[in-house]
Amino acid sequence: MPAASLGEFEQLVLLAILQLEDEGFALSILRELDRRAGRRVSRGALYKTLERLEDKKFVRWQVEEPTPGRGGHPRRRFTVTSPVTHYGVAALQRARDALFRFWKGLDGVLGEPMP
Amino acid sequence: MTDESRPPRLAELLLARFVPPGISGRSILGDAREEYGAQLSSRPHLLADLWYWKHVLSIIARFVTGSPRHPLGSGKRPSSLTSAVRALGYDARIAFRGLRKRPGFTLAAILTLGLGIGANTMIFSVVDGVLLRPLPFPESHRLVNAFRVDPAVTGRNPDLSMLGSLYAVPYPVFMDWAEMSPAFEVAGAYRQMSFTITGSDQAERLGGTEVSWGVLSALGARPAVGRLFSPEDDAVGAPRVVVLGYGTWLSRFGSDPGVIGRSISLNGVRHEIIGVMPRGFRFDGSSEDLWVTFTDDFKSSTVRNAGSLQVIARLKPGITVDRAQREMDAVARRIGELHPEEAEHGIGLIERRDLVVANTRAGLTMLLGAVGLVLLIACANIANLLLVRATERRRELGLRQALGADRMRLVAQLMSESVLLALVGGTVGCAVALVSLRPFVAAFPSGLPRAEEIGIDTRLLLFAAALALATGVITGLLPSVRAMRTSVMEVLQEAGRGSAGGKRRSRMHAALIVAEVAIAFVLLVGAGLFVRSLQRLMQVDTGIDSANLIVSGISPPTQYRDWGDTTRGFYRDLTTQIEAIPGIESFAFAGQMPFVGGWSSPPTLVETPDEMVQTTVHRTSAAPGYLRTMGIPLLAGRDFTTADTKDAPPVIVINRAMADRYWSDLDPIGRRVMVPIQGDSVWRTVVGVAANTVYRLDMQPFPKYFVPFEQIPFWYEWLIVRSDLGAEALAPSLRQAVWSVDSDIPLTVFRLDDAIDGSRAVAQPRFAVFVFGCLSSLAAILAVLGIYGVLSYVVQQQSGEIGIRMALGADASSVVRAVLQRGLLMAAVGLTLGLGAAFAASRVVRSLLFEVSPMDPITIAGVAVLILVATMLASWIPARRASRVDPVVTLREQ
Repeated sequence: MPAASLGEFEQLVLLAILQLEDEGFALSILRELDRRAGRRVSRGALYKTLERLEDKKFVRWQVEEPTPGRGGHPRRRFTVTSPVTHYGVAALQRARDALFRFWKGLDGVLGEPMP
Repeated sequence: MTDESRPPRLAELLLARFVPPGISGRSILGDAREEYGAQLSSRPHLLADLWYWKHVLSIIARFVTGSPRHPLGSGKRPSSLTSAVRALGYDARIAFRGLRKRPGFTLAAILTLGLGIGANTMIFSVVDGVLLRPLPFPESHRLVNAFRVDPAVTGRNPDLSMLGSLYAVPYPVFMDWAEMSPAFEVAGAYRQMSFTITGSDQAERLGGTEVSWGVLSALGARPAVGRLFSPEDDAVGAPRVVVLGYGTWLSRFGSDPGVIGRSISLNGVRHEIIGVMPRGFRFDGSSEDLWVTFTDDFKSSTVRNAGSLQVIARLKPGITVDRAQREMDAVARRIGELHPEEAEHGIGLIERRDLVVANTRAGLTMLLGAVGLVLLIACANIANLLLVRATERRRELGLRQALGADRMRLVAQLMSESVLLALVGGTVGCAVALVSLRPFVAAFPSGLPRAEEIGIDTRLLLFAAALALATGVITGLLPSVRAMRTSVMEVLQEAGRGSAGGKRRSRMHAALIVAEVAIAFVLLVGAGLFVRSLQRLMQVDTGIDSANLIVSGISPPTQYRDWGDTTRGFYRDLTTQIEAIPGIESFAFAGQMPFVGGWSSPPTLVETPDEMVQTTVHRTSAAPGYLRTMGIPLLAGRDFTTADTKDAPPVIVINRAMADRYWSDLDPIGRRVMVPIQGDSVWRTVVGVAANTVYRLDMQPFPKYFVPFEQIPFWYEWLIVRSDLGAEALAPSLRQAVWSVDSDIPLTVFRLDDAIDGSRAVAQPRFAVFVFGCLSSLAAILAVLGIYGVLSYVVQQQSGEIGIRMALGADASSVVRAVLQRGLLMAAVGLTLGLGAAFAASRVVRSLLFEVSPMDPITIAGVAVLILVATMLASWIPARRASRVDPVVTLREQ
């Protein structure tokens, strides 16, 4: 299977899931995107992106027991697929490497990155 | 989880429909719930709900509008609904673009559909409010009206077509029914009365209802203030009490709750106010300003053979009208045993709702049918236009099919355009319905029953939406299916010009046009029939010289109502006063006024040479000079004179119809009649015969006799004045004259011609002419436009063929003739079908026509000619265009 490329928002979602470690629930991802990247996205956009990432096999999910307040509906915990099973982490690495190569030498124009 | 943190149910259901199936979808639902709970803890309920809706819509938008999933994707198939909705969203966008490119067509189609759907929604809302919804009383299906019936005429089970032979009920008979019927939970009797309220303010005439206590109980009414009637109020000797209508309480007492216990004077008698009816309470239409119990005199009456009461009853729970009717039949038999002279009377029950709408049902049903037909024509027209468009796209569609596109998907795409049009049209239609509903209801002749219950609510908006959707599907179905039926090979081979496929297509166009012409024909014939009906009505010879007749109803206060010398004295005083008014040619009093009111048909014995006929005959009192004032010719004998006093021999004047009915070949003068009620059991001798008059324009003259006013004074009389001064000029002096006798008498003065004009008999056909005129004109215009459009299209399609024929020597006139023939052929087939449809519909219209056959040849021929002429005109322009085809240009194009 050819390695699918990653859109910018897809990268953010994947990174958010990694940052959340074991807490990769849809609502946590939303909050994480807002907190770290200042991105307020609609629920629809997030679900759609997760669906797409799942189709590309970059994320997978497990069903968690429903917590109270969910009307008995299950909860999905998303994880980024690792290189052993599949491509999520590898895709992020490729994206980072490609970007780094482009960033290199442009500090004069863009200034130092924020810590 | 508590119920409180449950999000809006509808939103949640909607969300559940659109999220992907399985755990993914359910987890999205769970997320939404969880967040809703969080929202609830931080903001008010309403805002949380709004938030939830927004959230749901954003998710749906994502899952619906995204392009359909790539088929090589994850291999998961989305639910069929989701993919269908996705496809629909996609199609809608394409359709929207297509429509935006043709603003003229789009606007015309939307307006046509908007008017069609709007008219249908409006009429349906009227039908819904009047005919379909239950009456505004608790468990209203248990309410029935009971009548006295003559089983010889009505059969044991009266139905509504027998409304004319149901009789009002005398009080003692009602009391028997109420006591003996096992089926009634509670029963009540009532009659409308007018009351003159006097006291602090100016005297005012109010419409009220006299009731027994059971009426308001049967209706399940609850007072706004105070109490309603109780059985004790009905006892003979009980204090006089009154319940005010809400409107009276508001206008005359400023909604003061302290009125309870106060006294008002009604017809000169003190009544204590005990309660106020609830706001918006409506029962029998008009007379609801106040409610009083029957007078002691009335309740003590033992007259059993002439009634004035309506009876309403609430059936016990679980008892059907049929069963109640059987029980009432038994009651009637028992009463017949107790009172043998009543053995031939039966009791008829009619469900209250049927009774209320009885006079309106036929008209409304027909109206609903008519607007439905107009919508059908609009559909046919738009289908035709879309058919043209689908034809233009045949190559594209054929190609896509050849490339493997799913047929159903292509059909759906073609349909989406018409559905989109219809939905926008439906929105316009709702606006049309909202705007036009009130004026329409107000314009309905002599008021719609239950008019106040008519309104547009969610149900009706759903109706409009369903109608719009159905319209869209119907409109789009034919063109789509047509376009898809053509074989791929045919399309690809054919260079897009007239060929076998083209012929088939134009047959389809022609079929639609034929249908349109047929429908337009039916509606135009309907309109024509109403016009003829109205003409006939206006030509009716009333038998009265109504020009310059001025009429005024006079109801003297109770102190003058002894049906004896006091009443006589009152009217004598009045006569003296009126005689003094200058400019009056003649005047008279009468107990009944054609076109306006008053009705009395007491049981009467008529002495014929062979037998004593026991019957009921219409009777009215008349003062001397009545015939002359009314302009009614005296055919034989004499009119009443001032010598016909109470001590003079009892006499009557009969009309021609009565003379013909009972003494056909004989001289009626000197024959005798007796009215065995109200102490008038004397034989009266016929002294004169007057010409016939009609009581209503749509009624034949019926037997009727006059008694001298001095011999039987009615307490309510009509003052009839012949004068060329006009009602406005005369009114002040008439009022002055009446008030100089008693200042507590209200008086309305009007021209008889105005009353005839405004009467139901005239207003109804006039309204029908107006509505049908509008609808059928619209239908005709649409049909003619359709003919024009199709012929234009055909001419354009065949321009090549026409060009070749002309190059080969055909002259222009033969080309014109060919096109005209085509148009006329479509119209002729349409007319033939329309004639059949009109015949089928004639049964429905018959009851609404006056002296015009539903298959009136003049109307039918006139409409046919009209349609043919319009067809000629519509065909003329395309025909001319065809004759101007330049053979050189066409041949070059080939």
